[in-house]
Amino acid sequence: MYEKVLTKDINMPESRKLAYYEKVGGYRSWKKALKEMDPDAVIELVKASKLRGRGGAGFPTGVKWGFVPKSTDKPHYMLVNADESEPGTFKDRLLMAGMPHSTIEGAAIGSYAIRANTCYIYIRGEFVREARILEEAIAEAYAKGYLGKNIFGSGYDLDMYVHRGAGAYICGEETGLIESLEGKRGWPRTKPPFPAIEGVFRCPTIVNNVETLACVPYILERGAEWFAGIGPESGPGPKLYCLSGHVEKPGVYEDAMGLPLRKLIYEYGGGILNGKKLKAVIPGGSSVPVLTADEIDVDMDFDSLAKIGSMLGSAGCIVMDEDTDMVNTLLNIAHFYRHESCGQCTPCREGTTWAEKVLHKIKSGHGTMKDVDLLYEISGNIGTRTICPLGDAAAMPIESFVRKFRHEFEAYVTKEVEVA
Amino acid sequence: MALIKIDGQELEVKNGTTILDAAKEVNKEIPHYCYHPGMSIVASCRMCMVKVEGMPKLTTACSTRIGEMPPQRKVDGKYDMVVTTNSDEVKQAQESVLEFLLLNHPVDCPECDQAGECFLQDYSFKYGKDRSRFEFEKRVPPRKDMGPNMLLIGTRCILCSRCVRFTQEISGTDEIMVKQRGYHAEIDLFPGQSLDNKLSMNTADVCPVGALVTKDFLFKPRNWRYEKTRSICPGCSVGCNVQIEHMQEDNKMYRFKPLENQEVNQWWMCDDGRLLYHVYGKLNRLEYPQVRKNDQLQRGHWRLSMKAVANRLKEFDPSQVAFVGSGYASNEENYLLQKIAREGVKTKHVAIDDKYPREKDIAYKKFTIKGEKLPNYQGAQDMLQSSATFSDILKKIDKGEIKALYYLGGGPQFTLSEADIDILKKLDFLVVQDIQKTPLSEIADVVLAGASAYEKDGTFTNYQQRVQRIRQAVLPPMAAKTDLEIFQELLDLFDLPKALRAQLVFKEIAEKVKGYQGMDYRGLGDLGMAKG
Ligand SMILES: Cc1cc2nc3c(=O)[nH]c(=O)nc-3n(C[C@H](O)[C@H](O)[C@H](O)COP(=O)(O)O)c2cc1C
Ligand code: SF4
Ligand code: SF4
Ligand code: FES
Repeated sequence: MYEKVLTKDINMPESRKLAYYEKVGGYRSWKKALKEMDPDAVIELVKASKLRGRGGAGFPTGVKWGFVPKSTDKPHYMLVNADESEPGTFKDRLLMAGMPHSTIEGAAIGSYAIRANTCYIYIRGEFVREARILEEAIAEAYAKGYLGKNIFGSGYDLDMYVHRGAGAYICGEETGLIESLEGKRGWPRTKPPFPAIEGVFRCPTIVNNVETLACVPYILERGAEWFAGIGPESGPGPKLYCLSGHVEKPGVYEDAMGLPLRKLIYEYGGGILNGKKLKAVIPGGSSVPVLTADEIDVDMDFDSLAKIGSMLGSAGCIVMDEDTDMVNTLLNIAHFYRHESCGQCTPCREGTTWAEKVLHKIKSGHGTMKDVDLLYEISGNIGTRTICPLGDAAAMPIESFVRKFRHEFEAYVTKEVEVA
Repeated sequence: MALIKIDGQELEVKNGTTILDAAKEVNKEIPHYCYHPGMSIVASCRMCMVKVEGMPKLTTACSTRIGEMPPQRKVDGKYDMVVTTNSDEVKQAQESVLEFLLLNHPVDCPECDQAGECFLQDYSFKYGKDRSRFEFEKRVPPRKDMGPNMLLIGTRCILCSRCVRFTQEISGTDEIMVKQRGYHAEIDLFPGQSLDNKLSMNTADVCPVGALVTKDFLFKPRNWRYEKTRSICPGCSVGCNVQIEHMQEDNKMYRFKPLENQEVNQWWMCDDGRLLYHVYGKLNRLEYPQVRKNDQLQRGHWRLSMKAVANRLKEFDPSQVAFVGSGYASNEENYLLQKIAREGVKTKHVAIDDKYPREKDIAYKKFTIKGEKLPNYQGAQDMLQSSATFSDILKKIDKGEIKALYYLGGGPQFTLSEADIDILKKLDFLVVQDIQKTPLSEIADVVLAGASAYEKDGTFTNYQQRVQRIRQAVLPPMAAKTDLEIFQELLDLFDLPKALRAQLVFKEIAEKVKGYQGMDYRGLGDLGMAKG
C-alpha cells in the first residue's frame, strides 16, 4: 500500500501556512542541508535517490545539478519551472496552492546544492492565486529566517523571487523560460551551451520542475534509499498523476512511480464516464503519442511508456471514450501547438500551421486521401528538426493519431462521417 | 586540432570550428539563412541540417562545433567527427525546410530587387521542389516604411532574425523586433521607433532575401547588369572595404555594399558612406582645365595649362612657393606633390590641408564611424613628410612671405572661410587642382580638373595605419584627368622622371617613405597591409 508523500497533507485547512508545514516536518531538511551537508553531498544524495525530472524530459536531477561548474566567478541561479501549461497537466498548481513550502524548501536545497544565491520561481501568468500564495509563503520563510542573509548562521545567503509569465506555453521550455526571465521574447535557445554552463544572464543555471523540487526535502529527510525504493528502479519516487477527460473522477492522484495506467483510469478515475468504452489515452500531456485502448496495460513510468513508443511526459493523462472524434481531437491539439509555436524555427512555425489547415480541410469534408498522407508527412518534417522540443510535441500527436486512427481520417474523406 | 571527414573528404580543423565553416574549407557550401558569421548563432532557420555519425537526429551545421574526442569516442579509431551533407536524408530535410519557407512566399522574383542574389531563389533552384503543395491563402504581412533608408516587404521575410540581431548586436540601437508569435510573427519597429541609425542599410545586406531593401536601390536595374569594383569608401578614415556597382554604358554608380575585411570594417559600412556617391554626383564638377586670361578663367588646353603652371612657378624664388596636399588625395598623389615641391621647385613649404572641421566619432556597439572625414589624412601626412599645415601657410601668405600656392583638393566639402579667401587673394599665383568648382577655384590663376576617389587608382592609409588600395570604378569627366596624370606633366616639366601608374609611384614610396618600406602594391591585395 502506497503512502502519500507530496500530497499527504495538502487538503488540510492550514496546509499552506508555514506553521503547519513545520508541524509536519517542514524545513528540517533545509536545516539539515545547511548544518550537516556540503553542497556536493546534497548533489550526491539526490543522485543516489535516482530522482528524475518531473517536468517532462525525465532527466536525472542530481546529474543535472552536477553539471554546474564548481568554480566560477559568475553567480549561479536556480529557476523553478512553475509555468505548467501542457494541456492535461495540473499537478504543480495543486502543489503550489496546497503546500507551497515544500516547493520553496526543495528550491532552497537545490539552490544550496548548485551554489546559487538567487532563486526565481517562474510561474504561469494565469496562476494569479498561486503566485500570491507563493509570495505569502516566501514572506513567511524570510520572516522565519529560512531565506535571506546568513541563513541559520551558516553564512549562506539565498533570495527567492516569484516572476510571473505573460501567457506563453513556450516559456515553460527551459531556455524559453530563461529568455523570458531576462525580459526578452520567449524564444528558446539552441544548445549547447546548456543552461548549467550558460543560462540566465549568461550564468550557470538550473531549471527544475515544481514537483521535482518538492520531492527533494523528503529525500533529505528519509534518505535516498527510501526514495529509490519506491516504484521502478530506473526512475523511482512518489508521483503525481493528472487524470482528465472521460473518466468518472478526474483529478490529481499520488501514487508510486510506475502506477499501472489501467489502475489509474479504472480505480482512481472510477472508470470511463457514463459507462462508455475506452477509445484512447494520451498518457503524458497532449504532446506525447496517443495510446489505443489495447495499449493501456502499461506502467506509468519513463521507461515503460518509452518502450511502447509513448512518453510519461508531465503525467497528464487524457482519457477519451468511444464517442471521441479523433480528427476533431487532433485538430484541437494541432491548434494548440500552432498557436503556441514561438515562430523561430521554420519547420515548427510553418509546419504547425500547414498541418492545422490540412486537418481543417479534412474535417470540413474537403480532404482527400492525399491530404491524410500529407499530414503524416508534415509531422515527419517538423519532428526532430527544431531547436526546442515543441516541434516534436506538435509532431508526435499528429504522427500517432494518423497512424493509429487512420480510418477515422479516411472516413472524413470518404464522407462516412457526416460533416457538421 | 580535430580530424574530421566531410562527405568522405578528410580534413583537419581547429577545435571549436563549426561544421559550416569546416565545410567551407573543402569548398562545400552548406545552405543557410539565419547564420551570419558576424552575429550570434540562433540556429532557427534549420536550413543547414547535416548528418553527424553517432547523433540520432540531423544537426545544424551552423551551431555544431567540432572538438577533439577522447580516443574511445573517435569514429573508425581516428575521426573526431564524420559528417554527411549530401545523403538522401539531408537532402529531404533541406527540401522540406525550403518547402516550408515557400509556403507563404509570394514568389514575386520578377519584381524583387534581390533577384539574382537571393538565397531563397538560389537554394530553391538547387535544393527545392518545383511546385507548391500549399493550397491555402497565403499570409500577407504588410509593407512597412522602416526608416529614412529602409523598406520592409513583409511577404518575402523568412524570419531569420538576422536584421533584429544586427540592431541588437552590431548597431546596438534596438529599433526592430519580431512581434506576434508563431505563424503571425513578423518584423516590425518598436512603437515610436524608426530604423534610423547610420548603420541601418546593413540590414539589407544581412537580409538573405528581398524583404529588407534599401530605398536607394529600389527598382534599379538588376544586380547582374552591373560591373563590380572592389575599393575603399572615401567617407571617413575607417576606410571600409566596398564593392562599387556601376555601369560602363552610362559611367554611373548604382550601389555600394560593404566587403568583408576583418581588420577594418568586418562586414559593415555606414549609410553615409554608402550614399556618399550621391553627394559626389551632385557636385558642381570641374570638367576641364582653366587658365586666367584678362582676369577671366577660360577653358585651357591641358599641355599649355601645365606649362603655364610650371613656367610661373619657376619665376618665384623657391622660398616664396608653397604646396598644400590633401587627405582626400591618394598616397601616390600626395607623394608626387611633395616630390615636385621639394625636387622640382625646391621649396621647403610643403603642408597638409587642415582646414576641415573634425567631427566626433560615432560609436555604435560594434562599429565606429570616424569623425575624421578625410579618408587619407594619415597617408597624406606620411607622404608630405611635413609638420606644416595650410593654416601655417595662410599666415605666411598674409605676411607676404609666400606668393605662389599649389593647392591640391579632391573632396566633396569646401570649408574655407571668406577671411581665408581674402588672404588667398593676396597671392600672385594660385593653382587649384580639385574636383569641384569652389570659391577657391574661382580666384585661381590655373584650375586643374582632377578625379574623385571613385575615379582613380591608388592607396589610402586609414586611421589604423592600414594601407589599402582604391580602384577606379568610373571615369572622371571627359576632359578632366586623374590627378596622377596631371602630375606626370609637371614631373616632366621639372625634368623629373615620370611615374605613370599608381603602382610605380607606390614602388618609390616603398623605397623612400618611413613605414611603407618593403610594401608592394600588388602585395597589398584585397585586404591591405598594416604600416611597418
Ligand atoms: C514546449 C515545452 C514546454 C514546457 N513546459 C514546461 C512546464 O510548463 N513546466 C516544466 O516543469 N517543464 C516544462 N518543460 C520542460 C522544461 O524544458 C525542462 O525540461 C524542465 O523544466 C526541467 O525540469 P526537470 O528536470 O525538473 O523536469 C517544457 C518543455 C517544452 C519543450
Ligand atoms: S521548435 Fe517551435 S517553439 Fe521551439 S524554438 Fe522552434 S519554433 Fe519555437
Ligand atoms: S527581414 Fe530579412 S533579415 Fe529580417 S528576419 Fe526577415 S528575412 Fe531575415
Ligand atoms: S543556418 Fe543553421 S539553422 Fe539557420
